[in-house]
Amino acid sequence: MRTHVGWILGSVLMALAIPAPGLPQASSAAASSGTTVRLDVAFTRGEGDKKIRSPYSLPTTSGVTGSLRVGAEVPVRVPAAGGQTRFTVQQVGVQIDYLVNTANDGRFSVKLTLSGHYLPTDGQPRAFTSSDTVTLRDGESTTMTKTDEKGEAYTVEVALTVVK
Amino acid sequence: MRKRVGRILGSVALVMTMTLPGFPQQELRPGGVPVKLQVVLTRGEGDKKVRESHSVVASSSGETTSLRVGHEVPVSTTGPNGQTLFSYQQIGTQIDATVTAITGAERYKVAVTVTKRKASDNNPVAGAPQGISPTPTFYSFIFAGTLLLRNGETAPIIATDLVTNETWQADLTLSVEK
Repeated sequence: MRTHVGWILGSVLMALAIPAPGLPQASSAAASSGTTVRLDVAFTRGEGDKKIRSPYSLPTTSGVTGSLRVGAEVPVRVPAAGGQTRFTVQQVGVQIDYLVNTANDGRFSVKLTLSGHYLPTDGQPRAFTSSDTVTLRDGESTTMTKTDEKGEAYTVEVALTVVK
Repeated sequence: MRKRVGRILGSVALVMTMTLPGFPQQELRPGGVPVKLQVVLTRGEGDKKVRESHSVVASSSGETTSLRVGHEVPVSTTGPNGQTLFSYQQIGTQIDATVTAITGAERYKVAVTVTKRKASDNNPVAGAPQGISPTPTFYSFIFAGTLLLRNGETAPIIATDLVTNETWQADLTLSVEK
C-alpha cells in the first residue's frame, strides 16, 4: 500500500515540477505597455549668411531606447606622395540616440545625444556632439545653443508630443 | 494486480494535475495572430521622390521576423603595396521586426530596425570631381526603435540627410491579418 501511495505522490510531484509539452506555456512575450511619444528634433547650423535647418521626427515608447543614423560614406580625394591621388572615405551624417522616461506630474525626461559630421561648402569637415537630458511636458519644446569643434554656433530644438 | 492499480492511479493523477481546473495552470501565450508590418521608404527633395514599399508578416507572439532585399557591390581599395583589392558592400533594405501583443490593450509593441543603404557614383561634396573615384558614395538610413501601434496605425519617421539635405521618411504601418 505504501508503495502505491509513493507512486501516486511521485507522479503528482513530477507533473507539478515539469511543464507538460503540448500544453500552453507561460508567456515570455507578454509585453508591458508604455507611453507613445513623438520627439521632434531640429538641428540648425549656419553656413555663411544662411541658416540650414535639418528636422527629425522620431516616434518612440517611454522606457525604451531608440536610435537613428542617416548619412553617407563619401570618397574624398587626398594628395599622396609622387603627385598621385588617393581616396579615403569620410563618414558624414547624423546620429541620434534617445530615451524618454516618464517623470513626475505628467512630465517626461528626455535623454538625447546628437552627434555627426558634415561637409560645408568651404570643404572643411565639421563635427558636433551634443548630449543633454531635458524635462518636457506634452506639447512643450526647448532650444539649446551649442558650439561645434571649430567654434561655430548651432542649435538643437527638442519638442515632445504624447501620441494618443 | 496491486502494482497495476498503482500505475493506473499514478497516471490518472498525472493527467489530472496537468489538465483539471483548480490545479495551477500556466498562462496562455497572448496574441499569436498574424500581423503585417508595412514599411514605406521615401527619399528625395521637393518633387523628386523615390518611394519603395516592403511588408513582413509576423506573429504577434514575440518572434522576430526579418527581410533582406538587395545585393553586394564590389568596391576596390588600394592595398599597402599599391595593389588593387576588392571588398563587398551590402546595399538594399533590411527589416527586423518583433511584434508582441500587449495584454489587455488593443496595441502591439513593435521593436523594429529598418536599414536602407544605397550606392551612388555622384559625389555629393561641393566641388568634388565626379566619376573618378574608385569607390561610390554609400548612403544609409538606419532606424532602431520600439513603437506601440494599433491595428491600422502608421508611425512616420522623418530624417534629413546632412550631406544632400534630402528628406528620408519611413512610414511603419501595422495591420492585423484576417
